[in-house]
Amino acid sequence: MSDTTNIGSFFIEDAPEIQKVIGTEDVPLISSDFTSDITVPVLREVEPADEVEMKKAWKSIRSFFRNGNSKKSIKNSTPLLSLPYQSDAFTASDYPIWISDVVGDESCCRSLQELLTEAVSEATGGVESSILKNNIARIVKTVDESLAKSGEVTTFYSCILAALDDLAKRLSIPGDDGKKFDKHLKRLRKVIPTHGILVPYNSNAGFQIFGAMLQQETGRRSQQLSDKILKLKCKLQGQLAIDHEKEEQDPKELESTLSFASELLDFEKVSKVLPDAGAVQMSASRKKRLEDTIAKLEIADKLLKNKAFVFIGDDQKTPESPDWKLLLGDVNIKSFKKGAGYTTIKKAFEQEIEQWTLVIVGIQIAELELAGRYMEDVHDEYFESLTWRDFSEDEITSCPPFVLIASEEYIADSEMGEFSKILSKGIPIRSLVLKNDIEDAYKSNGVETESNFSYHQELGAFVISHRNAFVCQSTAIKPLVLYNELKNGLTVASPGAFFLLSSIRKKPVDSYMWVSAAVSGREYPGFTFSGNMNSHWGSRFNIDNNFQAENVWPIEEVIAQKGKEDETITAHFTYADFATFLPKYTSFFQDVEQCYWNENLLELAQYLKLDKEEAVGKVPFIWMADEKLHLKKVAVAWPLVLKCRERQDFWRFLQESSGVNNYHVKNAIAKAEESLGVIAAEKMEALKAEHQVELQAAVDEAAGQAMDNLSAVLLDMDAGTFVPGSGSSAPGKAIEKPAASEESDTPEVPTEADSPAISMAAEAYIDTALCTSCNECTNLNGSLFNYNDDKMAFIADINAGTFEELVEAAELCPVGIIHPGDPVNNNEPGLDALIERAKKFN
Amino acid sequence: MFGLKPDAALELPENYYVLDDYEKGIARWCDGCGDHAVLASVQKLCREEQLDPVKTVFVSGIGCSSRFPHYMNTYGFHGLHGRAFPVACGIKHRRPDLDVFVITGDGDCCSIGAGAWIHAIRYNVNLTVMLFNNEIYGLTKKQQSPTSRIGTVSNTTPRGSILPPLDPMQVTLGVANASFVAQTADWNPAHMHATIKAAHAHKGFSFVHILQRCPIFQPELVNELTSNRDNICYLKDDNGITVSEDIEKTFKHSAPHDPSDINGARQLAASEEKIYLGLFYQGKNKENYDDYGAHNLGVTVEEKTAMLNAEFDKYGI
Ligand SMILES: Cc1ncc(C[n+]2csc(CCOP(=O)(O)OP(=O)(O)O)c2C)c(N)n1
Ligand code: SF4
Ligand SMILES: [Mg+2]
Repeated sequence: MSDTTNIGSFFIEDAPEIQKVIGTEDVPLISSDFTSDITVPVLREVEPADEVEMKKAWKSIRSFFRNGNSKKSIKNSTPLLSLPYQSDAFTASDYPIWISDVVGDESCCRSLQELLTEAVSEATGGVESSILKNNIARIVKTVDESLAKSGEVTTFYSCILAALDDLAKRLSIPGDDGKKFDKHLKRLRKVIPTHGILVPYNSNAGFQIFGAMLQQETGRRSQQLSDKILKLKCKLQGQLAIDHEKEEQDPKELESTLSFASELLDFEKVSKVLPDAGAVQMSASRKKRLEDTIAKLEIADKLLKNKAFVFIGDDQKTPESPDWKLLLGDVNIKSFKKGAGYTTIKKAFEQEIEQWTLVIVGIQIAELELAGRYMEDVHDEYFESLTWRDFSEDEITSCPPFVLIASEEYIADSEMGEFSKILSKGIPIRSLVLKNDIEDAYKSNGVETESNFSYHQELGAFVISHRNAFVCQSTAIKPLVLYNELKNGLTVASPGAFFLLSSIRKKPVDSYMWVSAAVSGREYPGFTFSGNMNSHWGSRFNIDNNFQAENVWPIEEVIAQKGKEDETITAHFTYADFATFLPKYTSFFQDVEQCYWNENLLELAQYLKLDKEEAVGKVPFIWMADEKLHLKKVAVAWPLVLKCRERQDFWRFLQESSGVNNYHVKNAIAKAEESLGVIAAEKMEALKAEHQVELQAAVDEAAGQAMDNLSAVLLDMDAGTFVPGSGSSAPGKAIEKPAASEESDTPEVPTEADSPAISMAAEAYIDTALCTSCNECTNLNGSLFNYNDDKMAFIADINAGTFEELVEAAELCPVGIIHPGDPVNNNEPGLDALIERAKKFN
Repeated sequence: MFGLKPDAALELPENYYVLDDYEKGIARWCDGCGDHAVLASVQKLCREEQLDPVKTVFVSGIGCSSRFPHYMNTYGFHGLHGRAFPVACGIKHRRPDLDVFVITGDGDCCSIGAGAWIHAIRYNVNLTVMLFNNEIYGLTKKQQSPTSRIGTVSNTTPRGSILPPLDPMQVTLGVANASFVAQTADWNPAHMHATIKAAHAHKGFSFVHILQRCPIFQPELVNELTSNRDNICYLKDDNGITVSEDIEKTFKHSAPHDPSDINGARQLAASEEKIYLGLFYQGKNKENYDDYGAHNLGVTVEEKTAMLNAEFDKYGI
């Protein structure tokens, strides 16, 4: 007895030493080569602290909650829902993107992945699995890596060709597979576009998209417009030329053109009898108008040289700001000083539009003239007083756009009054308003004071309040969506404002993560608002471009490991989760040790739903995971809770405006349900009563029939032929007709004898999916039979073997899946016997 | 999160492997032997999972089926008769980074190797095990095996065998800590492939009992098994082995079965009515002995010696 206790205590005492040898949880001894990558978060099993300790700890937790004075850092922890993306290998999913640099492409902005998938399926003829198809991700990755190396935009074609060569070299696939692969590669090179650029994700991606969109759209439009003007001009000139022809022919002119006949003709006389002479000529005023119009149209030649006018705030000259000249290409760029933005751009717009008014007038007159519908008494006056305000949407958008680019602060600080004027006057000037994380990324080290805590500019909402502008708030996270949003903004005649959030963190992965978190945590929700005066208010909003737009906060289930079991954790991504990315908020987070977890610790999303009384004594937390993937509950301090409330409120404003959980809709539904409930209850009663009557009738009828049937049987009649409802009108007949039952057994499909004889030859085939790869058929004739990529047999070339071989293979095949069909070559000897043998397998 | 897809983070391996990368030599099994079908299926699995050939090991005992590692262009161990399991467990124990497969025959596993078999099941080491059951010793040219049916005429039982056959499914399901037990047939390649794939995905001792054709020494049996569709029943369950609708149609009978129900599984195995194909039993989160074998892998021999010496020094006089 004492021996055993001794041994026991020996082990306990020496346990730390022993554990050094065998390894423990705290000293992970597994060398990194051997660890399998674990990605499942772990929920540890921890005993709760005793009552006294619990009380003590909670006193300090509550004090933290009130003051937000945490000293502990959460630097090495990640919000649970962003855990899966904490890898440097993570690549932004829709990037790199291909952007066309040739005006007129149908889709100008596509993800490389999508572009390749389509091209590969074309190159491989749409087969289900091919080596090329299985390696699209690899091609994308190679391109990604080469883009990451240069960090720059690259020409698509050279980059993709290099990636394909790299793939071919790296895989160096042997044998038949290799040949097929080479063939597919060759075709792929022919199918992919040879123009365009590749854009990786980085802090300038959004601007790149804006620039590409602007070039595409303005290029396309100016092309259309100049085509149109050219046509009109030609036609007008044609009219003038005809008129000129109608003038009396000058004998001198005749003489010069017909000089070879000078000895034969009297030009004086001929000129009098030529057919045109004497036709009605156009009035002088019309002629002048046509000439004026042509002159007006000619102004466009000069104007079209400027595809767009871009005014950039002089704060956009910092090292962090993009090189706009490079991004926007061939447009007219000017810079403006703080506070002078809208006045400058408005003046420039007015000057330019005055010129354009002449051109548009020219087009309108030309069109009326050519249609023969110009009426001087009406139109002269009309065109006299025409301004750009009378333009149609198409006409306005065919003029070069005016774009003002500035940071959010620049506008909020000193431009609000002018901005508002532009918006309310409906002047079609677009603003690209930029916001980035410069403060969070570099400058912030202090603690945010409570006074500036809930200050959010929300310029988007400011523009919405003007009702008739186009607004979009977005990011470059989803490049294709962004492209289309921006394009839509440019195709309406109203003023527009594009708000773009970007991040200038050094690593693109970090930037992407930060922006995604800002959108997910409702810090910067995406939305568009199309302020078309003739539309319903609600229909102007769109918030689809958000993570789980239907929820207040995004919500996801995460499977964690607790001991040997799985545990499902439901976690939200709130503004506080986003705030963990901002150093200035560090003191508002405090990890609560697991032994102090109790029912007073409430997930923040739940906490925010409580009313004042319910919230007393509770402390909100968010789920995070540390480097070892251990789950943590991190308490959030009161000042940050207030900020979350504010963000939730703004998001609810967008949601309700777009009809999600809308107050009025909810009320209306409740009311409708109530009144429908009353009606439904009444209806139900009525139906029940009705049903009762019908039921009784049915019971009566059935009873009657049963009686009839019974009597029929008693009378030795065939009850099977008894037609319900026909009474007992056919006694005796059934006895004579025993065939009745046989008839009903016959299915209503045409029997073999019925179907017309088809003379088409049955083709040979193999049930490939059932092939057991036994080599029987391929050994017999390797050209006739072949294995596919999955080493399963199919008929590769029916003409590479005889019918006899087909039949023999069918007989050899251990699983009987070869069907020889009919012979293709009717001259083969001994066919009759072979066809007989083949029958079994067809 | 917004715009993020977790799979975008997947790291791509350096290489891409095609079937050729897993093929080696010409398989010397008889024409029409079921082993060819299993080989093709396993090679396909390797390609689908893009298993790195230098991180994959096939371990076998002795028999026709046990020649399998020779035809795989991966690492292999063609071992001693009946001793595939101890070798495989050893490999997995110290090299948890390797993907270890075990190929064994009915003679190899259920006769001479039965002892090792039982304990490997209980250890639940993370292996993918395929038992090729042709109900005969093939390599040695037709002797009865423990799984041969009563009346099997062979070189060792010229007047027909007399003992009732041992059922590998019942045995496996009867051993404590069994975690994945499935049955399939080599002549239904789609079902077999789905089964092997599920076995490979399972963490623990994944046991696949493959009914295997030996047309040379068991021609009547093969004929009976492959032609009588009444005998075979497909176990259908979302958590079991699922095949496409077309393949499902190749079965005449199907029956529901929840693979977490071990008693139901044992009943199916004992049933004489039909041969059931599918996942009989799967238990997740069962103890794996190899989890305890590799935790000090990073310690060098010198460190180990030093620590042990420190221990021993305590008892020095
Ligand atoms: C220790 C030992 N005993 C006996 C043998 C002889 N022997 C070789 S293979 C074999 C049986 C193989 O049967 P099975 O495992 O069913 O493989 P199959 O050939 O049927 O695939 C035997 C008994 C041996 N090689 N080593
Ligand atoms: S003897 Fe049987 S098991 Fe062995 S290779 Fe031939 S058919 Fe296959
Ligand atoms: Mg055998």
